[in-house]
Amino acid sequence: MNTNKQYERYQRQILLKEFGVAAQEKLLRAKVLVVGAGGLGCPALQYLAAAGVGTIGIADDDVVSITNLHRQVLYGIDEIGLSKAEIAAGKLRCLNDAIRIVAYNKRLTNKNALDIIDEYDVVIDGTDNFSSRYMINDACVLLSKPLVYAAISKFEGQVAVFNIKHKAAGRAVNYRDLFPFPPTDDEILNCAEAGVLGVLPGITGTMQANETIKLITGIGKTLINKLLNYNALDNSVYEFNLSVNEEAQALIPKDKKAFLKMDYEWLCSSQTNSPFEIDVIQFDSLVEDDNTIVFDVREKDEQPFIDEFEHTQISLSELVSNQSLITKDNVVLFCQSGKRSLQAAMLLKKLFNHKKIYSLKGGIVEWQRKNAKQAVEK
Amino acid sequence: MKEQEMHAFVQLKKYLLMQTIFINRFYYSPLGAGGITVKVFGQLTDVVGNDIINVDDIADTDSLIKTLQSKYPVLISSKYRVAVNRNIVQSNTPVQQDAEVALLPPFSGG
Repeated sequence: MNTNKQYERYQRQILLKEFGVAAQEKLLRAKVLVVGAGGLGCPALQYLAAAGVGTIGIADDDVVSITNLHRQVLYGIDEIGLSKAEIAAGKLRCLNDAIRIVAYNKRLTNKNALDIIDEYDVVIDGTDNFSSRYMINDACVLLSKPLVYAAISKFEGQVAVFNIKHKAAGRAVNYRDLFPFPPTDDEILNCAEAGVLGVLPGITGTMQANETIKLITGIGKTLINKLLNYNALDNSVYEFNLSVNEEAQALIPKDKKAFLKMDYEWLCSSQTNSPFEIDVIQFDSLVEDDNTIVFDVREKDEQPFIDEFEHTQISLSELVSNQSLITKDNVVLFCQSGKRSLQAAMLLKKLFNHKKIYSLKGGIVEWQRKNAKQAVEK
Repeated sequence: MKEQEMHAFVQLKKYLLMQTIFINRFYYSPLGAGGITVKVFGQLTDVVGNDIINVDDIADTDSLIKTLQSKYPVLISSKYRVAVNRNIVQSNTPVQQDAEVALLPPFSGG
């Protein structure tokens, strides 16, 4: 091993008296798995590789798309359509050739997670969906691996360190102590639905790298039993103190066998064949009906604009507080992908049990796709 | 309803809504009378139309949630945890008059 060259690379952090050679050696011996090489994963990976984490695993089954580029800064236009895990691994090897990079070009599921995670000292959750997040949390609890968690929503990012026993607490806190049950996909919007400022996961993913480096080297204080919320709009930081939730513990699979049997996709998916959902054909015939009122529950100015049929644009929160708008018996709701309108339908049904409430499955995106296809076939 | 009438109707609704939001902001403004400050995070800011609301005459977290739900019905079907003075609470918790309550929904984006 070319020790002199290695130490020259890390000289500026070794100079820190709190850090020194000892911390650098800890980093070089450490193995970190980053799950999700997206908005959070890209900056986390870059700083961990640059800092000299000896082994870095990258798990992602996705390919680069043009809408990723405003926040996933490891990728360029020439790499659209290529594997994120492999492109990221290549970039990190160029950045630091003295460390080992392992690319897993596959989705981490409960079938492979225990074997992969077992190889590492720390896991970073940079995924973008609840089924992965709960699966990773449960796997880390079973294997007693520290989990550096982060997630974003619009202009806010949150970071926490799970599965490390705090002096004061009875047992280590994990994500299920905060949210025992996963929300279904239609209860919460993801980045594709709600949008995200590109720099936000940059800041939040960098915080994950920082927590990981502190955790491995033992310097400073990490977010154990805390969840930090950062707001990019006003730079405000809010720290929540987390505590053990005994009810949550029962929801985590008891052993490897129980973990393999869990269906995380199902746990977090919206119910199939929801009584409110209608397809494009049913939607078109309802729109023609005089006793139907159609609402676009997207925020105003959301693309695409629709002028093919009569409707009223009103956001979900406005609709609930302006119930006098619901003048007809059939209420048809649509949004971008069908998630928000389904949520709205479920809510409106509670308020107006006597009305017929419908939500366009697949949203206006699906409606446009079907109509474009019909136009071509004609 | 004719298209023009519909348009005027929608404009009127929007105007009334803006008025409501303005009044809500004024009435629940943190600059107003004392009471409990409720800070909301993530997508709950869209539900509430602001990130801070002030509420008076509340004894505990359960009654606070009830009050907020009647004002913002979308909260009935929203998922979130409650913190009192930055501590996530596991059950109904008394709230002092100068307490800071926060509602934290789960985030999934990455």
